[in-house]
Amino acid sequence: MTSESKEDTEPWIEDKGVEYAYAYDPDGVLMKSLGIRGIPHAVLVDPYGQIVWRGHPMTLDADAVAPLLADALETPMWEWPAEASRLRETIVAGKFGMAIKMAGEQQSEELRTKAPSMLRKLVDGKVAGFTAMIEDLDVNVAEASAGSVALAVEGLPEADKVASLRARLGNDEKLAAAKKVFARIDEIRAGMPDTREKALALDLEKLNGWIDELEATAEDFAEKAPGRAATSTVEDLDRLRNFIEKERAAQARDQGGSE
Amino acid sequence: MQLSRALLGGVGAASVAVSLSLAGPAPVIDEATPLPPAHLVDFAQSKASSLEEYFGQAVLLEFFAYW
Repeated sequence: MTSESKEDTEPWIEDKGVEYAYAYDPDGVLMKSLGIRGIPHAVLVDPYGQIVWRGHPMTLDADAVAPLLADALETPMWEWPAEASRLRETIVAGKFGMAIKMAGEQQSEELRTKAPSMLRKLVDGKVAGFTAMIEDLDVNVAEASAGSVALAVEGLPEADKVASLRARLGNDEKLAAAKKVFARIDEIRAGMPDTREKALALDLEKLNGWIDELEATAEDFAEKAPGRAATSTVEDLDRLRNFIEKERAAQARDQGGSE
Repeated sequence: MQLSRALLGGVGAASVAVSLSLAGPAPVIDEATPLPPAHLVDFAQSKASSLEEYFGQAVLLEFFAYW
């Protein structure tokens, strides 16, 4: 998938003779949710909606794929029989609790025998993941996921737990503090220069101030999502500082040589 | 059964077989995590029109750019 424009991507697809399926991720929302900052990058998702591997696509090992294929449905959703259309619509809508009940009544043996447990695992994974996001103070991703998780557990015993977790998003002080950290990191990143000229014009004291601030944040939120985001941003700022110092030193040498 | 090599690109049109024949490091995540909500649009070269339609399949999502 790509977050680039169709206008730029389609000629590339045609030129390369690409035959595989692709789609667009407007504004790179999924890419950002996954914290992907370099491409190419791939994620391997199991039949239960869980990411089980991620990395450079050329480093994917067959051993990571084989068990997933064994678990997957033989028949992809777009080839399901017509009588399964309501189940299909319910799953696409993300109403997995309702879908679990419907799946057990399907005429298709594969759907009747495999889909309920598959949906059950999908729900379990979603709830566990949502819980982990809250505990990890990954507040923006948790907020983005909250609606779909609530929909997934509608009519299931997990609904109360999910409602309680969602309530924490609105009233937990640590989560509120984490949200401020992510907003501040976004603000700092928006202030980072995107051209050589802008980088050379940047006030190093300001940059050092950002680094000090984020190092303190990383310590305050150690081993939590905001802390990791702060550390990652410090690494980028440090690279930027090294670049600026080298370039300025080279400029000074050039000027000294020409005098 | 095939891996749904959906939404791939970036490294060119390398086939699944080529990708999978390369030995690589172990998975870089220790614990499975749910795929965050995704609102992908304009599916092409696929019978699916949303990511949700890959329910029950193993899917490799690759993030690529044309440049």
